[in-house]
Amino acid sequence: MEGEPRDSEQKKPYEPPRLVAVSLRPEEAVLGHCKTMRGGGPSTSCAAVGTCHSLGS
Amino acid sequence: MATVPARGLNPAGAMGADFGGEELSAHRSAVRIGGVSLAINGEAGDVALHPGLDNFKISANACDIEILVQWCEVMPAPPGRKIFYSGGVWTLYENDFYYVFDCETLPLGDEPYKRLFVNKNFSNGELLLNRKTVWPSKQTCPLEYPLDELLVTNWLSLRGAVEVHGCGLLDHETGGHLFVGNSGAGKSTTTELWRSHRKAGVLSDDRVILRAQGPDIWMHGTPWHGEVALASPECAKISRIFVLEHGAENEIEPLPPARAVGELFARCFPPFYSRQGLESVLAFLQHIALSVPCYLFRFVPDESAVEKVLNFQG
Repeated sequence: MEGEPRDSEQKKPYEPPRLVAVSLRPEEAVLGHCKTMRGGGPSTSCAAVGTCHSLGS
Repeated sequence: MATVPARGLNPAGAMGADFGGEELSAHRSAVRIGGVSLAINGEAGDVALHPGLDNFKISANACDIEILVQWCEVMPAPPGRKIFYSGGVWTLYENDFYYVFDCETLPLGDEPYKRLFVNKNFSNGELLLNRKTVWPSKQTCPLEYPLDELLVTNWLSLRGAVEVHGCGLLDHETGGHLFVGNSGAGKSTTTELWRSHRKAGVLSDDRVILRAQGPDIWMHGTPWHGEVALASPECAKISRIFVLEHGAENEIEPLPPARAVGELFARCFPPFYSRQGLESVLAFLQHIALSVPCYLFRFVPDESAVEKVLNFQG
């Protein structure tokens, strides 16, 4: 009968909302932590400047 | 359309420097990263782009971001109020007209070794190099990390685009796959697996720029690579996004859009100091989550992880 919803159109069962915490790591989300040997200061290596560290995965 | 740097962005009176009345120097270098063109203009031949940007060099008369490089003898207190400390080498100040990025590190003294003045839409700036701390050499690379990346990511964030922690891989049969993950999540491992088992093209093994192109989301390689040191100026349409996690076995779990936005946000570089930029980034992440299937991918670091993705019918 026209007007009756087909199976594929039926509503999904209700799922109550869930709170999922997503971890935000400042050292990952803010640029400025030197990677590999790109340099973190003028004409220097990371080690010479002393503020950078590798973040490679 | 961008123009050459507008001199006078830096308040000459405050800096003791003269920025007026000179024509732009012929000493100019430009790159295009993630579709964003960026040029530095020097007064002499003593400034250059660093070698890591070689694959991204272009020839362009007018770029999206134009930076004029100057030397100064004295770096006084920054004009403006402090709004953000990166925890690394840079601190951000602002006033009504522009942002000021100060780069400093204790081994080089208590003055910034360089200072970037940039207008609030990140299209035009002046970069001061401190002669006291920037050691003389044949050529200095004034946009060395993190200024190049800061300029590009801030420009993008105001224009509906974003850079993420991720490896962008292009498989010859299944198209573009983006695997996002923070440090230690497995980006380098994933890159190596797909290279060795699928001969996949690699846009980047660590940082990828995402931009909308029509109804699709495209990923662009960047020069800011990771351990595998792969950086391509190419781009590719994304077919699927996987959030990487190490697991006891290979599992793929679809992410609802709201969760996907949160996971992507935790793996991108948002401008925390800019309400407009943050809103723009969040809106774009939502657009991505509604446009591209996103999954949580727990994986084991061997070839089976590649097979799992290839055989997955999401």
